[in-house]
Amino acid sequence: MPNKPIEIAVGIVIILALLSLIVYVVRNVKLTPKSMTLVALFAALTAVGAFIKIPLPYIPFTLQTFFVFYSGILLGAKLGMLSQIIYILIGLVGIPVFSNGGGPSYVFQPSFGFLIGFIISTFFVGKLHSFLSNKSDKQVTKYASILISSFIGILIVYSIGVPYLYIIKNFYLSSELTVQSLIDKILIPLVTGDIVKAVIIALSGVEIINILKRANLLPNINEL
Amino acid sequence: MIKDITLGQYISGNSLIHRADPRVKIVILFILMISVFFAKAFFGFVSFAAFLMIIVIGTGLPVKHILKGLRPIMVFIILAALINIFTVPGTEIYKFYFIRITKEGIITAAKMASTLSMVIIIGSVLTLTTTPISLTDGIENLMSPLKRFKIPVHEIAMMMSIALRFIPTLLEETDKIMKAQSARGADFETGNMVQRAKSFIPVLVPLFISAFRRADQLATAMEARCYRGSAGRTKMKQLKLTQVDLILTIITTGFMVIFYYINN
Repeated sequence: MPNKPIEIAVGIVIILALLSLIVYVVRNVKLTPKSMTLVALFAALTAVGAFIKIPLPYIPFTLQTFFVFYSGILLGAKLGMLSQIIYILIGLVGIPVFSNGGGPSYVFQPSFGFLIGFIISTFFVGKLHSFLSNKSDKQVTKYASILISSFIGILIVYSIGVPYLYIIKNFYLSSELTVQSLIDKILIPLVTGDIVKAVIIALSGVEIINILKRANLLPNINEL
Repeated sequence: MIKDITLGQYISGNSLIHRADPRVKIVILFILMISVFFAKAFFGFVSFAAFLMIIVIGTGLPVKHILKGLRPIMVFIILAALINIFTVPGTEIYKFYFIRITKEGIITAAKMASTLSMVIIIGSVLTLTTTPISLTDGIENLMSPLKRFKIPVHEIAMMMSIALRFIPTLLEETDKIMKAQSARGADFETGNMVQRAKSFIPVLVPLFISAFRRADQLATAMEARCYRGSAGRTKMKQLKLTQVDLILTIITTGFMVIFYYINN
């Protein structure tokens, strides 16, 4: 039950792990006004995405994943990851930007693992996308690199989010959630939804990148 | 649907808690939040709830606003409480075929529900009495020792406040674009999952373009004003500790001592 100090210790460990991530990324990133506003923009977009939701049991199905993967694709690994860190910090401070509110106690919500997954997946989505899209200049490569990197991103989000949800539900709230019902009620509807999202990200992503490049708004990832 | 969201729920007022320094408020409320989890005895809970009630009345805000923060998490709390009532083993009070209610179950459920709701009430007291700007200001100030480890605390706080400023604008913009596209015949409400998700492409593209333009303009404005981070930057509103903060600290310390004795 909540009054065991172990839970608080776990919460503190999670917060410390997040902080050490911040230390690593932030020390290696060059913060100019341009990059700062873009990071803030994507943190705000992720927050906006949490408010546009389609109700499903257990986990809110939101447009958030769109903006999470776009931040990795458009800003690159480090800045994208930083934008997710900023988003989670805003929520943990107590401003209701998460889909069920906000505040430091959100660490004990079953869906918080997905938010941690966002941070880590943006980093890999960014890295993978810049690696793949530099291979050739063909149109197919552009689509494929976005699609593959967002699939990997989904994989990372779920591999962190689902165990977290399972642990919180079973050990903290002591409600008995079996692995079978976890798969039936959560994984199948959400994963199908997310695969659809990844395809849409790839379809719209190439268009968005082209328009932004033409308008000279897209920063060169290597220069930031 | 988008209009209902109020960000930065700050309600202006002139109570002691409103006037306190954000740093003091953050530290005090954080300590309270952690100590809720240590409440064990019945009177520990009662004394904590009473102190919380004094704080809530002390803010001078309508109680309705403070309870509003509980609404999103209420379903979750009730569900968890119900599961506890029916599953925790112990002495039976009531039995109806396979449904059993135990004394221990009710106690655990009540403890968990009251702990969670108190934590949330403490959190909403902080956000209701502090403007988001002074909140980030306070956090920046509290985190400034981290500068020794080369963490750009100022830049992080700056990005947090820029993001906070962007959120209402982007919400409004999304709303506007969605309305504009529905006027052109776009359909967001019907169809299966694939069709609905697909209908968001005409929203996403203009949203990204206008958002990037906004960020670009802000960056240009910052550069034109020679923004260069925290080095040598001064503040218009300096944070200062006053008598109010001393009073609040004394009250909280007094309560914590009483709480410690009652709880054990």
